[in-house]
Amino acid sequence: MATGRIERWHEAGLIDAETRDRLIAYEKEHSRPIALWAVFGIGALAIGLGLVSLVAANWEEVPGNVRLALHLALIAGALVALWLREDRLTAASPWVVEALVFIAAVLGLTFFGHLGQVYQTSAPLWEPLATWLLLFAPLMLLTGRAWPVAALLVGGAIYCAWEYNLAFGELARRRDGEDAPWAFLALVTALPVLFAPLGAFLRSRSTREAFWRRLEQAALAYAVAGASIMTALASVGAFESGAGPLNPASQLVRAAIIIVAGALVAWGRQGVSGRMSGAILALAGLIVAVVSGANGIELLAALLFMALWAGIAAAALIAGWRGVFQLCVGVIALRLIVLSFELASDLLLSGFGLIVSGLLILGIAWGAWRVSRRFAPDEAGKAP
Amino acid sequence: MKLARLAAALLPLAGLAGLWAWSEHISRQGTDWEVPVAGYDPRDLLRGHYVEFTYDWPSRDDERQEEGPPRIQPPPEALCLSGDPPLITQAAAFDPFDRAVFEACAHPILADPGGVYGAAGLRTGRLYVGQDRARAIEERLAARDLRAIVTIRQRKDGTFTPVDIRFRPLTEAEREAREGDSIRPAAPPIMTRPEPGRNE
Repeated sequence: MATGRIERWHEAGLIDAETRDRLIAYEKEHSRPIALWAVFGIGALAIGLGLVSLVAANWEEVPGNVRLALHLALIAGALVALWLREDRLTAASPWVVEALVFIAAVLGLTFFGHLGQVYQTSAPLWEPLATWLLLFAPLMLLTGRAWPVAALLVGGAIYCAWEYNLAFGELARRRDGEDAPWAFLALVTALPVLFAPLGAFLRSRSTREAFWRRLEQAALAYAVAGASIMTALASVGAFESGAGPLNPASQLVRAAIIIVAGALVAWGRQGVSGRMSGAILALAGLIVAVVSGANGIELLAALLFMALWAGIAAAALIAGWRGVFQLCVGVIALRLIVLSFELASDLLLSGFGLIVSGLLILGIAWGAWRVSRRFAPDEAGKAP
Repeated sequence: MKLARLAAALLPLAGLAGLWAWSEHISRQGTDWEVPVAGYDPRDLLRGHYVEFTYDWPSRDDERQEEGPPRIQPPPEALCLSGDPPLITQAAAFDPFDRAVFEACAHPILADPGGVYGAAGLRTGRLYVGQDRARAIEERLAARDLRAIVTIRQRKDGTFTPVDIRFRPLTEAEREAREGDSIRPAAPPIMTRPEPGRNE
């Protein structure tokens, strides 16, 4: 495959005959028998699937305690391997350690479901999730190496917080009516953002820089996504003025936590990148605080959304994050297109209107492309 | 640092093992009661394999409605069971927030608001079983001449867990009651087969 391309390069005068021969010789030496590997892969997959279905077919035949013991033994095996061999495995590849931690944590999570199956118990989802976080968060924080464990930890915390919010909010609404502790529930949903300062603080102080960076990014993404979703909710008028999970007081509590997290990030990670990361969090917090004021006003909600992403773009310019800047330009362009539909939906009913909105979309896309080319930071700067 | 890592590895193991032991302990506690069940809904494949049923609590005679169209009532959120375990002679509804009644009751059961069915946890229940068994149970639940009985394990704090389901043929009285309710087919006498032991 590569040989043909190298020949073409030679014919186009890009490389001389000697380079061509050396390249071809190198490719021959390093060629991988992909077809053979594919056959091996298919065989291994078939065996794996067969094993899984054998276990699944006989699942009920195996007594519950035996199954639970096997499950626990698998977790123990992963943990023992981590404890005894972590340094050696890291030397081979940090991904081996990452995979072990991830598998142990996921097996731990499924153990709760397995217990429920054997003992016919049921509980609201946040309870096993919270227990799981309590038991596995220290392990994940101490041995995680890359993004899968960071995403699992932050994702698990977010899921748990919102499950708690839903289950307890519903219960509280039925029991206490208007007086339910909405501010406390809002505080719980904002807590996962605090992973950002933790990651920011430990990034330069740990040998596992990649893990803490991902942890900070995941929490930052939660805050930005949350603020963005709230502007979308405001656009459709979902905020309630009375008591409820989205009332102004709850929003202020969430905003306070996010702004505190931003300040801590800026303090914990010195330098331009850390300050910009903190600034993005603070901006997201401000948006969360004022977003209910734009409830039901489409233009204002869209402006808040674009202010958030323009702010992120500015931070990306200052800190030199090329990918983030381009993402921001794309997101703002998309929101402009959506806004044009929101504000002038009746335009789409006529042929002339369709032509106008088509031209508008082309114009926005062209503008976004020009902005991205003109202003995007040069070097492929790393994300926050 | 090494100690912290050891602790971090031991914590999940100890925690999960503890949870297991606790579940085992709880599952052995309590009094077993047998509750007749009526009707069922097909199992929900996404949630694994279970049979879903509606409890048919033996109510007091004066609570039982004799005449008129059936009244629609919210399901009870607390019941006080009495009888000789596993036989329930009476299940009296009470206010779940009334501590005095709860304390006075020897065998209370409460609907778990956080459970799958929430406040309706005393009307509907589910029993997780294997796929094959769920299918067999489903068929038998649909059979007209069998009565399904669910065994629940009830604990002092009002929690309970369905532990098993079994079937028995309808008793003569139950058969009579069922025949009384249903509309008899108006087939000519030549078409009905004489049933053994019955003289119609």
